[in-house]
Amino acid sequence: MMGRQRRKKAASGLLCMIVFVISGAFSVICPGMFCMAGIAEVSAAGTVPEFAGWVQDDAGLLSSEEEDALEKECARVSEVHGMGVYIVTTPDFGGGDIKNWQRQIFTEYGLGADCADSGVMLAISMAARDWGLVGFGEAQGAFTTYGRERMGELILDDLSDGEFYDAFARYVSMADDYLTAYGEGKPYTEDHHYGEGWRIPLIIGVSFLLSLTVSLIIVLTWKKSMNTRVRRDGALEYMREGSFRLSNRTDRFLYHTVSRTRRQKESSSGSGSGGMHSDHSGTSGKF
Amino acid sequence: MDFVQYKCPCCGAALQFSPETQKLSCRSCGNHYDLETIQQYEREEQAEGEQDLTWEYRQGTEGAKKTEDGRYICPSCGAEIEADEQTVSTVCPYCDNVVVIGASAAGDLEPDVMIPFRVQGNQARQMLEKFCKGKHLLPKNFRDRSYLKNLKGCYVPYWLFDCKASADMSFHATRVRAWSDSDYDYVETSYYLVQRAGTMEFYHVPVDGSREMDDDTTESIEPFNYSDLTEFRPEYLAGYETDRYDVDAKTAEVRAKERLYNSAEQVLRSTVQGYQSVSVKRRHLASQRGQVQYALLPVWLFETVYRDKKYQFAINGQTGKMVGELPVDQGAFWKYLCGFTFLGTVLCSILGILLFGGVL
Repeated sequence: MMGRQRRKKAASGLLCMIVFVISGAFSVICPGMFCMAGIAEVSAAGTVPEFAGWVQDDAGLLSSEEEDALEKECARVSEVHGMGVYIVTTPDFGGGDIKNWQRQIFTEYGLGADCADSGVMLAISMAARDWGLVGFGEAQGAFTTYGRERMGELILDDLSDGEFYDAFARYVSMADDYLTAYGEGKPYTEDHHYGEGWRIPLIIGVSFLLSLTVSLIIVLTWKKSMNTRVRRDGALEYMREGSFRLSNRTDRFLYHTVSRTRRQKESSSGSGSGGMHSDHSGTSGKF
Repeated sequence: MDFVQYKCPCCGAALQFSPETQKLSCRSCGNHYDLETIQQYEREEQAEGEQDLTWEYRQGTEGAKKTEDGRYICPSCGAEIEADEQTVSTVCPYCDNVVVIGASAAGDLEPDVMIPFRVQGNQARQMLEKFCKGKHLLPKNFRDRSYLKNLKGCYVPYWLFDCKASADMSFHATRVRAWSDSDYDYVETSYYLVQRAGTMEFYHVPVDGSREMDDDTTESIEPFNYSDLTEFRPEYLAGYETDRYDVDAKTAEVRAKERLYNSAEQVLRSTVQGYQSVSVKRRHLASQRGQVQYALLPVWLFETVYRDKKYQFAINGQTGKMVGELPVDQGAFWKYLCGFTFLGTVLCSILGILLFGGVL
């Protein structure tokens, strides 16, 4: 596992260099294509020595193929919507609130410079397993508090399981959906839920079962009321009052049996994912 | 000298006398029994179970005989009237006089006692109408009042069983104790042989003597208030249909015995307390001074046939208690079930989507 990560990190470093060269070249050839072109030479802040492209995998969580694929997808989404979609991973962001660190590097590296300072950034710090999602500029309208927390819910399992590529791919895909919905004037909010279309068939199904159960109870109660006959079990009402005389009352102990079952030991292990903390433009938590 | 081999009540293995404990011990399950307990247990195992009760039948009074050629003549106008061997009384179609057909015409008993009607015909019709009101599953032909024509007052033949019963029963009972230590949960179940005996008196336990009447219906309209019980007088039969019994007392005994056994068990069982579970092991009942009387009891009866099935609805003609079974329109049943389900689904779905669907 460690060896794989080292290999990933080495590949990542190599890829960073290649990306740096290519992006430098592209920044000259087509400066408008990437709104973060030219940031590579910005001096490092915290533990991010440089920021090249859309995906900065300093924690070495992705293979070069994975990073390349994400890079392309981020670029596509950013170009389509005119807002930057960034992914940052770091071994340790230095502590504090990861959202503030994200805002700091967004500003210091001039990210979103060609997108009217607008974008969204997902950051992962492996030291204390922090994640953060922050919207910038106009993208804050697309990434509402509900939207960020919903995204957090949907990617948290993959992050916790170490499936970082899957988590990042889903983030980019969701970012595309969020920005599309925002562009159409219907951003995802508490009143416009994301990815919960299954709710309506479920609600109808539950309503049907509930209604069928209640209806059955009503109609069967009506049917039962059509038959009020109850066969008598005994004839106690015909026993003369005070006529009962008890003549023998014997209780004899015969034997006893003892059974035993081993007690379940209470398990002290437990798991739980931390809650999310949101402010006006960002959401963070533990994975 | 007879050799007696006792078996363990717990596991059935042979018991052996232990000089150490001076008890009978079971090597299989490890239980110990004192001699008196195991002898009592063996006696209980071999004791007789349920047996028939004995009853003394009261002799009835001879009634008038029918004519030699089998016809019945109205004593008031002399007209020939229609009646058969099951008819106790009927109304002469020519002079409207109530004609009581002699009980001994068929060589049977004449009723000993009866309870006259207290509930009037119009009261009974109102009660039935009220009962049917709001019954959404009744067939369509119940929507007008024509069905009320089928309501008729009848004197139903009953056999009344009296006895002083001696009950002797035994029960299996258990007590459960539970405790735990750091590794195990323990449950100790103690088994007891519980014996109870006692006497009790039963007065006029009714069993209907009509094959036509549904037993569930006739038992459901009980109890009758026996303070109104009078000697049989034909004058009370005027205006009501009266059938002679076609289930004799000997046959009715079976049901009487069943009810008496159940009651005796309930009474004795109520004295078995302090156990977690109690089940009957043996029931024995003997009747002393057992007597049977033939009675006519008042019932308003409504009968109808729906889809080849006969339905009976009865009102106790003395107390007004209503019981019975009315037909169910299966079409209406499914109509209401589907309608309610559809309506409920639509309303719940709208509410659910508004609250949880995220469309607001």
